[in-house]
This record gives sequence, C-alpha cells and structure tokens, in this order.
Amino acid sequence: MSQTREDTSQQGHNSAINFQPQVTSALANSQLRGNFDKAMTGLMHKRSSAFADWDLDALRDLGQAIRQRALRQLPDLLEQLERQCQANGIQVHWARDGDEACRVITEICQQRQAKTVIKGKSMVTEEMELNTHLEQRGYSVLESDLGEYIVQMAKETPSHIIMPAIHKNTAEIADLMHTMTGVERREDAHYLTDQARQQLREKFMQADVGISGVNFAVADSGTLCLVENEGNGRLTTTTPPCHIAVTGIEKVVPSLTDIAPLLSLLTRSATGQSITTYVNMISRPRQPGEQDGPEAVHLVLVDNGRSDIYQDDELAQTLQCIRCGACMNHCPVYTRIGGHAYGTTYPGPIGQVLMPQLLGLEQTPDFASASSLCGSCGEVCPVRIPLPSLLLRLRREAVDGDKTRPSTVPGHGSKRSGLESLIWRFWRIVHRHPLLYRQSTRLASQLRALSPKRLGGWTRYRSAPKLAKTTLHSAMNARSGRQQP
Amino acid sequence: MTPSARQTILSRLRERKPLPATSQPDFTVMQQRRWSLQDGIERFIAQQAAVHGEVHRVSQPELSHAILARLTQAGAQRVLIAPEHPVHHELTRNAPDLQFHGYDQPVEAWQSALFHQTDAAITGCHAGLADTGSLVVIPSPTEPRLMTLAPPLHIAILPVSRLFSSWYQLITEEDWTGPMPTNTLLISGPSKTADIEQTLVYGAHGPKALTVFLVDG
Repeated sequence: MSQTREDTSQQGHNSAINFQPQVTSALANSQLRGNFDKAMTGLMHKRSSAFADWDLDALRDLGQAIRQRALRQLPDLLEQLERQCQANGIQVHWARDGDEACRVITEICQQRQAKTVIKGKSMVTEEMELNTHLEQRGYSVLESDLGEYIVQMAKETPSHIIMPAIHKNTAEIADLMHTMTGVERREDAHYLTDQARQQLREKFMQADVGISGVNFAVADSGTLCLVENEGNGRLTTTTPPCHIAVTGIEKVVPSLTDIAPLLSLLTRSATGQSITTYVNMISRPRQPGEQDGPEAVHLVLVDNGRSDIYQDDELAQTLQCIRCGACMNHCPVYTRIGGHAYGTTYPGPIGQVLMPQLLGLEQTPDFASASSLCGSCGEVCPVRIPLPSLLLRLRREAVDGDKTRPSTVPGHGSKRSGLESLIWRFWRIVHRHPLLYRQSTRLASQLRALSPKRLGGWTRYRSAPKLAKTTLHSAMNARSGRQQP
Repeated sequence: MTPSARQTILSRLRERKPLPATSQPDFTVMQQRRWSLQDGIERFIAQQAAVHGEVHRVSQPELSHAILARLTQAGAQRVLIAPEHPVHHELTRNAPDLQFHGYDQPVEAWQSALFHQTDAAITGCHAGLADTGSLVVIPSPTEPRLMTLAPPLHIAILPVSRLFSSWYQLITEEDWTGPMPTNTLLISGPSKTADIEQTLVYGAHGPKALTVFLVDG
C-alpha cells in the first residue's frame, strides 16, 4: 500500500524524510525562532482572552459532537451536498487524489479558455500542489491572500496554515517586495499592504478563474462557507467569471445551525478574533437580474487519503479537524522549529497525525515521536481531537509487527527493527520468570563497569545512566534482614 | 467500465460499518448567548469598535444628514446607493453637488470605474448581531455583492429593530433551513490583515472604513 503512494511531501527544498536535519538548522536560526516565538506567544494570549466569556468546555463538547455526527453521516451528506449544489446550479466534481483534482481543475480552465487564475487561501490546493500543476501547463497563477502572496513571491510554501508568512519579519518582506515588484523599500506594514492591495486589484479584474478553498460546506442548502479577513476571498469568488471551490470531503456538515458553533470555535482558536471580517456564504452562481458574481461555480470534492483514514474508528477523529491551527500555536515543538522544518503541507501536531496517514509512516518516520506528549494540543483543540493519543497510536503502528492485525495506516510496521523486537521479547521472558529476573539483574549490576559511556543521542547532552551496585531486590532483602532481629 | 471517482469514494466510505455513535450535539451554550435590547446595542457598538467599525445611533429624521456628514468627512464625491433605497431621495435633494449612482448594470460594463472611481457605497442590512458586532448582508440585484467590497468606504444602515443577539439566534428564529440566497455575508468591520509580522492593517483588499448607522424607531 505504502509503495503505491507518491511522496508529495516535497515542500520547496524540505521534506518529511529529512525532518531531523531540518530541525537542527531551524533551531540554529535565531531570527526564525524569534519570529515564531513572538507570534505564537501573542496568539496563545489572544485565544484565551477570546474565550473568556464563554463556557469553553461546553462549546468544545458541542464542536466535537457536531463534527462526529457529520463524519458518521459522511457519505450521505456528500450525496446530499452534491444534489443540493446541483439544484442550485453549482457543478460538482469528485477527485480520488490530488492529481485527479488538478486534472479536473485544468479541464475546467481549458474549457473556459482561461489564461490567468487568481487564488484565495486554500490548504487542500497546497496539499495537491495545484499551483505547480497549473503553471507547468502555462497558466498564470497568483495567490491573493497577502501572506500567500508573499510566500509565492519568495518561492516558498506556507509555514503556518493560518498565517503563511509568519516566519518572515517586516524587513525581510520589505526586501522581497522591493526586489520582486519594484516598490520602495520601506519597513512599514501599512505601506506594504497598500502596495499589495493596488497590485492585486488589477489582477482580480483581469483573472479568468478564481480558485478558493472552503471552510464548511452545508449539505441541506448546498452552501459553501468561506472565512477571511482581507476581502481577497470575496474578490476571488465574485470578480472572475468562473469560481472553482476546492474542498476535502470531510468538511461537510448537515445544516447551517451546525456552522454557528464551529465558527465561534474556529476564529477564536485561530487568531483570537470573535469573528473574521467576512463570513462569505455562496450558494449559487450569478442569477438572472444579478449584476455581479461568477456565471459558473464549480465544487471539487477531494478525497486524497481521507476515505482511508475514515476506515479506523480511532484515527477517523483526525477528520474532525477544522484547520484552526491552535494545536501548532500551542505546541512547544512547533513554536521552536516553525512550520518549514516539517517539510509537509500541514505542520505541527495535526500535521504529525495527518501526514503519516496521508504519506505513509515510512515517509514521515520522526513525526509521531517529535513530541514531548505535553498534551497542550489536545487541550486546546476546539473539536477535541485527542492528538496526544493519536500520536501514541501512530508510534505503535510504526513498530507493530503483528501481521494478523489489519491496519489502515500506510507504512504500518515500517520502523520495526529485528534487534529491538528481540530485546523486548527477551525483556518479556525475563519479567515473567522471577528467578531469571533476579539472576539477570544481579549479573547486570556485577557487570556495571562494562556499561557503555555513550548512548547515541541520549548522551550528547546528558551523562549516561549507571546501574546501581546492588539490585533493588537485594537491597530490600538486606534491609528486611536488619529489621528482623 | 472503471468506476468513477464518485463511486470509488462513496463506496470506500460505505465499506466500513458506521462510526460509533457519540453524544448528540447540545446547543444550550449557543442559546445562552442572549442580551437585552439595551445591552445588545452596547455590545454591538463595542464589538464593532474593537474591529475599527464605527457605529452611530441616529433617529430616522437625522439619518440623511448624518450620512452626508460622514461622506463629507471622507471627502467622498462618487457614491453608490440603490435608487430604491428610502434615504436616496433625501440625499440627492440635500447634496446636489455629490454624485449618487445606482449599481444598475452588470459589473463587466463598468468594473474599472467601480474599483477606481467610486468613493463610498451606502447599503441596507438584513440584520445586526450583537455578540460579534456583525452585519448580516444579503446582496441583491439593487445592492450587489461588490457594492460592500470594492469602494473604500462602506456605510451601512441598520434599524435597531433588526438587531439580534447572535448568528445562531437569527438563523433559528428566522428558520434558515433549506435553500439560501446566492450570497449571504457576515461583515464585521473594514477589511484587514496581519500577515506582515502580525501588524494589524485595515484596508487590505476590501473597504478601508465601515460606518454603521443604527437607526431608532
């Protein structure tokens, strides 16, 4: 199974397989660490004050229940969404994987004889590397979210799912915009934002196709819900004559009432806002008599590994995610190494759980273990995904050698080592036989002088553990001997 | 015949026995978000102010003068307003030197003028939401989607009687089930971004300013 999967983890120069050297270089970059530390500390405070007047536990219970109910009905909801969208005049397409989704989108662009594409922020299109696919076929593709625009100019990938350019400071962005667009070099966020506004306004008017993501899809009304602050999402979905919305199949919920609590959780968890500037609900293309809006609206439903994740009761909770990014903002690992070190579309705790399931454990060998299991991610998750338990589950999956237990996780058992499993088998035998146990521990303490001084990574920053002169058993025996006259 | 992507995905999802049943959603926490009219007004104003939205309480007879004062303050010359809007007649009578236009042709015919030569737009609202300080806007043939997006100043008129506690209260009380309008918007403040080192900047791709006139009576 894992062999047939493509490694789409190549993000710029980084990849999941090179996680360790990428971590080392991220940790050595004090500018990067400073940028992340400042941003993430601020976000943690904003989130907690945004929930101050809420019964947060009850709201998270509700968010979890809504997402779990929606996932339980997933195939029915997808069919209902399709029916309702079609009744509204939205054309619905299905794609098994990223490549198929890219092909579907290219075909729509071809049919429209489009040349230029403008995009609103969408993580699923990052997942399938849509921009590269379209550019290779001669389309001009422009990201319109300011953070994505900056990242695209720098030929990089987002380092955070909500704030794509959070790894850069103002000086770096001023340099970049000066070099790439010829504007004055001014370290002034207001000036730079205004320049980008002017540059992009022209592009919005010229674009043939607008491509966006979807935050929530409502099955019973056929409505696509998009959440944003800048207005670029509204321009992308309103100005070009054709709008293509791309979404993972897990984002559908039964009705509009389900959106209200999820929205309350999403924006507060993500950036500490009680709501974003715009919540944009699109239900149909331009109708007769209406003066603006696209004449054609397409919805592309992308599976790309999600239906495999769906097969396992425990791991299916991964699909509850509403992509707020709170788990990464609160993760002591993410806040120190930043998003690029992971080398995958989704970084941080949700990435560490999702990416091994999408790419295979053999492609992401360090992801499940790059965690101190401090539990912060699980505590802040607005829909109560038990991220620490899922990390543990993936650690077990990576070393599990039991062929009789069917696993849906690609790369199952890929970290299993013969020597390690032999050691554990020996350990089990010793612990089940008291006499053998005492003899082995006594032997071990007698041979303590031979214990190694260097233990790989462990002794790089710590001294090696040393066995005691006597075993606990003999120490206890000696003690009870003294106490009994 | 090879199965379609649709068939493959749906049958894969139906291959397993249904996911275990979990607790039913309990919406009590949403129902508790209620404010009295007076508290709701205060919260609406405070929440808008928190995101750089300006709210002015005016009586019906004061409305057109208050709007003109705001337009003058912004130096607006070319203003979009639906000719059908009740305040249109008074505005054109009281300010003959300003140019009031309707958005009465397809955007393709005048896109550049809409984006570059329109200073402000005046629209109504479907409702206001106290909890988040939001406007609920449903674009229509006379007040299209780009009207609240392209001009740098958006002036919204909201009758106090249309103020709800929350989005949840509005959609449950008005029973928003089934088909929806082409586009429905919640708008909270002018457009903004914090993508450059988390520095908050208003006026990203949409309006740089939002003024709400909350009309009594």
